[in-house]
Amino acid sequence: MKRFAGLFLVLVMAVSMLAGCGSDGGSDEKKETTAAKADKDVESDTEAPKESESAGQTPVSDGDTITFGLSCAITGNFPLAGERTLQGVQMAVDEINAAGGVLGKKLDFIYEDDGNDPTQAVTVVTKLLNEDICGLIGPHTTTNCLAVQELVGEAKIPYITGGSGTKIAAANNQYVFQCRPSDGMNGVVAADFAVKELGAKKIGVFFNNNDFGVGGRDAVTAELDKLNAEYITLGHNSGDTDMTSQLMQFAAEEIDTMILWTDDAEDVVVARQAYELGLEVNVITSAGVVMEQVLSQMEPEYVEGWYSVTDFVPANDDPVVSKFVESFKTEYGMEPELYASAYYGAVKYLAAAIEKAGSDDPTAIRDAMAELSDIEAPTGVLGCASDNTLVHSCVVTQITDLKASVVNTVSAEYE
Amino acid sequence: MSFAMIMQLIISGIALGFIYSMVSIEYTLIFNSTGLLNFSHDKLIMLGAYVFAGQFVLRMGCGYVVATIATILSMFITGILIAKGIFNPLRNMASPIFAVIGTVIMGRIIKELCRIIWGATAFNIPGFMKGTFKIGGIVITRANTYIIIVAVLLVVALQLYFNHTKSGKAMRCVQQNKTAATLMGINVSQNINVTIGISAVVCSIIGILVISLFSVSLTMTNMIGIKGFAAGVIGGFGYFPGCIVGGVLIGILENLSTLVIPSIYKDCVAFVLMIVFLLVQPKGILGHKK
Repeated sequence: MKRFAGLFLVLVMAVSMLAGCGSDGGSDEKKETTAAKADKDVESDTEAPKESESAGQTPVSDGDTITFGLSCAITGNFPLAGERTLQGVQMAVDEINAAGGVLGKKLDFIYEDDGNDPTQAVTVVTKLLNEDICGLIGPHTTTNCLAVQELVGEAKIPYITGGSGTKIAAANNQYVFQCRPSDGMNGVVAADFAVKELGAKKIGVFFNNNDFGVGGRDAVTAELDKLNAEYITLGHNSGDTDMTSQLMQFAAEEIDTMILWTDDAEDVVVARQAYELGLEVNVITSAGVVMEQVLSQMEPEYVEGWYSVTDFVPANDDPVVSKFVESFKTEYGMEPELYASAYYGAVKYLAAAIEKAGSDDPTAIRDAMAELSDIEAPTGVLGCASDNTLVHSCVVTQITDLKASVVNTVSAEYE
Repeated sequence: MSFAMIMQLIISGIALGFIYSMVSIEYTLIFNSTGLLNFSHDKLIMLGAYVFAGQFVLRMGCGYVVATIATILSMFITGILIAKGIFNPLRNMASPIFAVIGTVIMGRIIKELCRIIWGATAFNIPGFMKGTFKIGGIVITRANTYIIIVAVLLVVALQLYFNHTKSGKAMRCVQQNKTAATLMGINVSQNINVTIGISAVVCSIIGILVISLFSVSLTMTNMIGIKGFAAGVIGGFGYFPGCIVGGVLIGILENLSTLVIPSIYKDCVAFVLMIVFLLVQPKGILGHKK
């Protein structure tokens, strides 16, 4: 038996070495890009903490620096968002410091990992609030934001989140600001686009049964009601891997347009299964699908011609966007997506508010944030509305051969 | 509600059901051999997918056959290391809680290691197990076909191994009575090592099969891990044919349930069934006595 075990181990090692040799041979292009991307992810993983090794240790806001806190998900079930957030924030801080900092001082940040978990978010935000920070960026997602918003309000620290749910504005906390377009707005744009531009006669609204998806569904259906459009709604859960029954029901109802409001992983499943089952309808989706990391999981034919209502796509002629995309590519070797762009904009907005307030006093910064307008960012021109949302425009994009390009830019009025 | 639609739901239900069945088999192996539940089993499935897709196919550019063999071998070794590191040292401690917590923590370690090694980005293998064919109006995907074929082969192979080979029979002895097995000259620890190695191999096979369905990501196996557990309870805990019956039943019922209840409650079917069986028929459908 032992002899066999030894022989077996030798075989295993031989196979692994052979497999290793194969790596030099080069594979087809698509394979390499994904692998290279994975490599870069690893690099950024190891580099990011080095950049800000301050995490929770450095004394903050001393005479020469102004410090803000960042809470993002480095671990947990949504680590990619945190990684891109950190990259966007780091780049914005570097740019601001290269241009002379804020109020003549260096801008710096300390970050904590919230694991995209509301309980952990409360812990790390409590920790960050005990540091001498002038503002807080993140936690991301509506659920995490709602978990920490009271703490932030009590500490009187201005907080910018990328959560886009309508419940955040409804909480009516004057210290909480949203740096991504609200789902209320995107849903309305999607419904309008379906009926007015695509001439949809019967629409299937397919939503994820979480805060995000249900909020989107409500916005879409309210607008469809206004437009007197015929529609049916069906839901799925986060993590569902088989949408056959819902897609078959849509087919049986003979819909001509599907409005899909869901997260990244479910986008991929729906796209594949809709294609396999031969559901040939116009599709308009929520923001996530246009991101490189989502599109790279699909075959081109799955999403050919799909529309998406989103905050940001790299392929945009707007000079602010193209400059941001170029710098991001130079810095990290990949295209930015919407989390990087949203939080990059958030830092720029915070810095502008510090300048306007003329001090690093959090309450003065909050007041300045509420008054600012016309701050240019990759996600549009930022300005504070009465409900503390900062972004008031979104883009309708169309996917061709796994690349999203802008079809239409929609801006909303705000007070 | 046409005949084609019902058939379509049943077919995709069967394919997903076989996945639940294989998950159930993979942890039943460990439960039978050590009396412990491996709470990191879904993370081992994920690891299998990452090793196959992330490492061997995308980074090293291996062909699918070479990559499959290499993945199976490396996962077998991983399984043995896990047995030597966690199951064997911890199974004889005062309470099984030690080993259980050990497996929970190991799951987290595996997950974060995957994130560090292969990155947080979900990815897929372009063109892998892609394609469909049609019979009448019913669409059958290539991936579903492979899943059903491989699952059946796997069950047959495991049955043959446990009933007709010396080491397989020894494993069954260890399952039944560790003391008697030791007295008969069977090396119990080594036996457990190999069993857990086999379980890890089954995990890697599941991982490879679900890549085209779920994409490779850190959360890809969350739901099948739990439903695989339900499949075991419903079919008959600790008994392979029970795993198959339970898994396929869940797969079909949860798909058909969408015809009568809103689709967002689909996931409840497996868990409601599990609770009903625990209350009414705790031995499961096949009512197997160990």
